[in-house]
Amino acid sequence: MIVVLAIASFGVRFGTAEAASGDAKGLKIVIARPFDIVGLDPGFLTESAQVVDNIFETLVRRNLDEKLEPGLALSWKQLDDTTWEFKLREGVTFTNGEPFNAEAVKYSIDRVLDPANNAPTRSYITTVKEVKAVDDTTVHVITNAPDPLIPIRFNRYPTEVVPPKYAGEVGQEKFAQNPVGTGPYKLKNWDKGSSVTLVINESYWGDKPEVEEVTFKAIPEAATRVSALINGEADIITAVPPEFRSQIEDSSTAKLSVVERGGNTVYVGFKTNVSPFDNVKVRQALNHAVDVDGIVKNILQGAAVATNSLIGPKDFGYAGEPEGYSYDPEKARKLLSDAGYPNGFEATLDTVNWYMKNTDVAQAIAEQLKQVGVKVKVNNVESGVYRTIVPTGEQSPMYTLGWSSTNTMDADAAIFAVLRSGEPYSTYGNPDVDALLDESRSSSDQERRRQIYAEIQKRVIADAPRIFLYQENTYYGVSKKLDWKGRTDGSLPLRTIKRAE
Amino acid sequence: MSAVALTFFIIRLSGDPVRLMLPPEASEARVSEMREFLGFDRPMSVQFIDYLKGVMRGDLGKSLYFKQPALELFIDRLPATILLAAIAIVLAVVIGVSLGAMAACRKNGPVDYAVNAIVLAGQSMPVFWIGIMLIFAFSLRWHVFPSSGNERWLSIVLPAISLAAYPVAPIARTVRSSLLNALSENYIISARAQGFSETQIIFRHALKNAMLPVVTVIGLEFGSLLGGAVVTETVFSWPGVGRLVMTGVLNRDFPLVQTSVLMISLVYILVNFVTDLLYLYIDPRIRIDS
Amino acid sequence: MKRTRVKNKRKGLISGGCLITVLVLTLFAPVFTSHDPYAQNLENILAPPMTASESDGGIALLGTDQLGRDVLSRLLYGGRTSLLVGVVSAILCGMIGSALGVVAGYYRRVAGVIIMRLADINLSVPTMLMAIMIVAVLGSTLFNTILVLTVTGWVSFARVVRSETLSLRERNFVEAARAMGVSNFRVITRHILPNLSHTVITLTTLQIARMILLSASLSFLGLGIDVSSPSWGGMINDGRNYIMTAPWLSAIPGAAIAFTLVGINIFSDWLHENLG
Repeated sequence: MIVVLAIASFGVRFGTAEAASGDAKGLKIVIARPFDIVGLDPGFLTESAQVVDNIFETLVRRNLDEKLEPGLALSWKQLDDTTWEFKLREGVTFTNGEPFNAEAVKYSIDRVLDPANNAPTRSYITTVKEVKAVDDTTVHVITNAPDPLIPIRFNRYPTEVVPPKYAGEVGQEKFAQNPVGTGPYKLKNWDKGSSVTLVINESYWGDKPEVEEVTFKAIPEAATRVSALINGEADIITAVPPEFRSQIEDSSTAKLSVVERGGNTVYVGFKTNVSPFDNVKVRQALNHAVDVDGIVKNILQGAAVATNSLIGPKDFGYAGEPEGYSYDPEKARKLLSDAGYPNGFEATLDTVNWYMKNTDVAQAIAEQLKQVGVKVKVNNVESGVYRTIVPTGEQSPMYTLGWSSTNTMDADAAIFAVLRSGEPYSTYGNPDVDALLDESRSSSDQERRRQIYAEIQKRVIADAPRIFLYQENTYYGVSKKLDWKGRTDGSLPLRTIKRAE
Repeated sequence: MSAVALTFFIIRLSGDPVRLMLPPEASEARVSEMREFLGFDRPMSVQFIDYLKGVMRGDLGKSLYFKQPALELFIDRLPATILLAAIAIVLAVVIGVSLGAMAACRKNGPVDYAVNAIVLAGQSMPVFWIGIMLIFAFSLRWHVFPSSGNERWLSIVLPAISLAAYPVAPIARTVRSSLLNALSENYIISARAQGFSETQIIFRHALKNAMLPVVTVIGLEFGSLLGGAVVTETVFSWPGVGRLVMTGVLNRDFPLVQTSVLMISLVYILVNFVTDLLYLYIDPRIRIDS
Repeated sequence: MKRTRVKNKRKGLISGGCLITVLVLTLFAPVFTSHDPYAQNLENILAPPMTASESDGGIALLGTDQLGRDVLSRLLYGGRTSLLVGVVSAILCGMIGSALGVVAGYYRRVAGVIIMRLADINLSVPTMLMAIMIVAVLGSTLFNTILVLTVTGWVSFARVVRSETLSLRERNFVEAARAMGVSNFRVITRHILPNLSHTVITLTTLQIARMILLSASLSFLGLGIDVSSPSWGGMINDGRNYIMTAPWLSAIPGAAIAFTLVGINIFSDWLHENLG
């Protein structure tokens, strides 16, 4: 009987979303990602914003070249040190008919800032002291201290605008299940644990997108995801592991979209206050002992770019590729004996599956460090445990970590959290660098910020608080029926997906 | 209940959900604020008593990760798993019984040995390995079945096969041995004397009596089937409770894991109960005895 | 009771032979392969089986993995780990489970009730979940993997041994011994345990197979034995992303597990027929 009930209640789901194809009228596509969708309220997300970005909009958005352009705001400017003015687009409505205006912006930010709501990503906008609705189409953002990053912050999902009346009526939990926004798409159907379907918003203020309907599916296993793409069960897949690149390239149905340096800048961090890593010569020696080019070429098969830069090439603050430590085991041995470790030492290297081939890379590093006398034991830590031990400083003195500017595309997000002493993910403390980092956060002069980042870069390389490794590429699989390329900011704007010529 | 208590403490020792809920750059102050908000700063004993009170009221808590009532989430996903498990069991029974019957007919012949080898092979391979190999062969090479999801009836084929592989062996072997027992009984000998063919004898007469131990085996195998579901659902992205539990464990979603363990224990009890009922139905002797 | 004749000799010989082959190959791994299972060769990665290595002139019979390590030697050395984990945890399960089972069956009242409650708790938390939680808390080392497997595996022994003890307890020779004033400890060790040995031996061989499978599943979920030492489950898991480009990486260790476990299963079957 249970079985019958199960089949009955489940059977409804079958035959609904016939996968992956476009007919003459509207284009319907399937996008497969490794993880489930949990909630669709941009103010309270704990996951990637790839889906909500299409239902909601921010005041500032990024164009195809990933430069800032007007979104729900037509223009913005800084009035004084702590005040920014946004002029809003007129005549925009939410899909439930509510009007978009300055009050809606204020409401959306206030609810995230309100400590009682305890929004997980509140820290993204805590520099904001107050949002004032000056008139229907003018918003003033008052910050606690000068904040040069306001336009970027108003591109990030916690600032996406929600309809005040509806959101207030239904409450947080319901809103996350039945979101209403101003974006080019709206929620059509949500099959919990399996898929979310978005459909085009007919009353959207901007150009009508080509794709009519999109289903986001969760397929955690990489091999399954790739085979879904090649078989035509999915049209776009994210997070393609490098091992599957050739499979997609060789297939007749799909193509590979490469975002060079679209991922994390991965490094081996040292706890610089723990012996022997408190000795700069030891840290430099280990940098000379690792053949990063070899690792990138042979283990990652070119799926990353070896770099000493802390900042990605598309980020604000990038200052070219600085000179670092050449692969030179001889020099490494000499530095080690200068530092008082002629016979090397033993250490543990923690690693976690957040990064490409993490255990392979860690084992290769261990093997190379063995050549200069440093015996390293590789310890692969379960993901949830790693998220707990690294911010509390309980990890081994050598640990793998990767960081990126994510969708801010600014050096601040790429380095502050991992270099400023006292930050949970930082195991480095250099008063000079700290001072520079603090200045970079308060200076409104963008030219000055650029100089500061170049200076930080120079000092950090000399100080070697990490083994500089590489920045990962990201890969997407895209059906040949579609014209779309992966983006550095990691977003998936459905309105930019076109039919292939 | 004690299982829930055990889970309650083990999962609390295994990590901090608060860190997993906040973005990585969140400060220590922010973390303790969130911890307080969720009530995880209180002594564990207080949290436990609170939890028990909630359970008494029928409130199993809200999932930290999904931000929905944990029970609702579980019940949402249960049909998918029951469907998968049911089809896997049916598959295992059909294959197991026919292989077992074949083996019993040709006792100690090549067929018997071949059957033995086949079912043992099924029992000797890791579930996830079978899954990956099936995807490789049927989905990638020959494009016969879809590899993921639940949109088409076809997509249940591969996960059901890989889940069924293990229980086929005990079923086939039980059928074989109980058939052999049954075949030496008097009524079979008399049926034979009446000139029924061997196949008729097996399917008309002996098999029915051989089903009793099979029911026991199915009940016993149900547990390992649920364990296998965690892995199978991950490989084939099947949206059932196995994946839900895995997500819960990986995110240290205390309420969700506790609820799942509680519910899975209940399902166990229910399955055992149903097995007992089936027993009663199939075996008239028990009815008379009790 | 005495056996007069070994039943089904051929079955025992073949399966026993398979197992001995596997044991010899893994225990004396250095004899069969000259390659170091840890030696990486980044210039020669993912070589298919039977290719000659350009750098050292040797032939990688089963190819090389993603770090250029010889798959054959990893298979042999990895077999050691997998078998060790399986055998040690099965024996531990057997010892702990049988001891608790005997006690529970013999002292039916308090001890019996407590132990069987424990077993029920253990059964109602799905094995995989328990394993995940333990490994997540304690970390993944060889020792912890064995611990996990033992903690989750003793119950099946306890239940079977308890029910056998219950029936042995009522048998004449045990009743007689008790009536003669023989101490409980002596009754258990002299009269009950010897009669359980057949069951326990058969169960243990089966348990080895289950434990090897379970530890492989743990590797799949990323909770396996420490990554640098080779194990069959770990090798399958490592090879999983190369399923399309280098399918042998996961197919070979998978086949090794299947081969070994078929051997174990048939052998335990044969043991059962002959001991029972």
